[in-house]
Amino acid sequence: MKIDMEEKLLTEQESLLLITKMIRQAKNHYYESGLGALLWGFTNLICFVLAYMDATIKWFNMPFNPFYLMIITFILQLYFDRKEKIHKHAVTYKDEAHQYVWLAFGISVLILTIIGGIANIGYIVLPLLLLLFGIPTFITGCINKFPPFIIGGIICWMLCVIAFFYQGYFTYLLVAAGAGIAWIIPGFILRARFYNNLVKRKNGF
Amino acid sequence: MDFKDLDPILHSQLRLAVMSLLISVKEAEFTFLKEKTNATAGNLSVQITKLRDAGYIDIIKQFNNNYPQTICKINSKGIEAFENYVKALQSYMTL
Repeated sequence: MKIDMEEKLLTEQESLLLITKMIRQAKNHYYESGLGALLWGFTNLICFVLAYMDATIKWFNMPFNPFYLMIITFILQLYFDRKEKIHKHAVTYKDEAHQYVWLAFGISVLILTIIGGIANIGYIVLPLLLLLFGIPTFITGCINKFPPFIIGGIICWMLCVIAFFYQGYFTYLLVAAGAGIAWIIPGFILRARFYNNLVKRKNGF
Repeated sequence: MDFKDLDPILHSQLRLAVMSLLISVKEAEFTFLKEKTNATAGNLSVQITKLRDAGYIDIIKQFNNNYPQTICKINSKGIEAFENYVKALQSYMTL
């Protein structure tokens, strides 16, 4: 039932209660489908496992650099972002903070991988990559009070410590594991929540 | 005791609800405001026009994927008015 609020005169107490209620409602507005986490989690997992196989298995030869798959993922991400924007309905300050944190992460990863590759800094790129994976994941988890991302970020940093001591092909698998724990598992949890919320909204809860 | 008049533009249930929502987000679509306030589209439209005419919010009308979209955003004058309204309310409450 639609409520006509316009003509109702408010007492001071009612005004304050209304302000509190609306601010709380806006704060609780969170649209996250988990698609981005799943997309990048699986891409990183596949890329780093393929890179490991390419480097260690003699008969396994990749016809192209497996990391080129990230370009396809980037295009897919732009497509899904555009599609999801239609359903978002509001941009919160949290959303804006996320955008800047992940943008900074993306730029850092590009600098590390491209410039690091040109400068030929070798396997040190991989532990540094895990270090970078942990930062936006941990921050996102803290901002949204979402423990799977917080734990994922911490595990990335732990894997980073191991990777610093173990410089070899095995490090590819550590990065793949980092992507899986930090993004794929939380991604599935977010996806399940997203569908639950959709069902609740359809049923009028 | 500092006793202030309540801003008549804000001292209305729906307009106050809209301003409280807009102060908490960067920008919001008409559909978001309608869903959160549970108001009718016609009434909400009239009230956001009043807020715009008072200079408290900016309204951007555009098309997104061929769908019309109305985006509302609180501006600096609106933030100041909202803060003054809350201060005035607090001064009433402490009386």
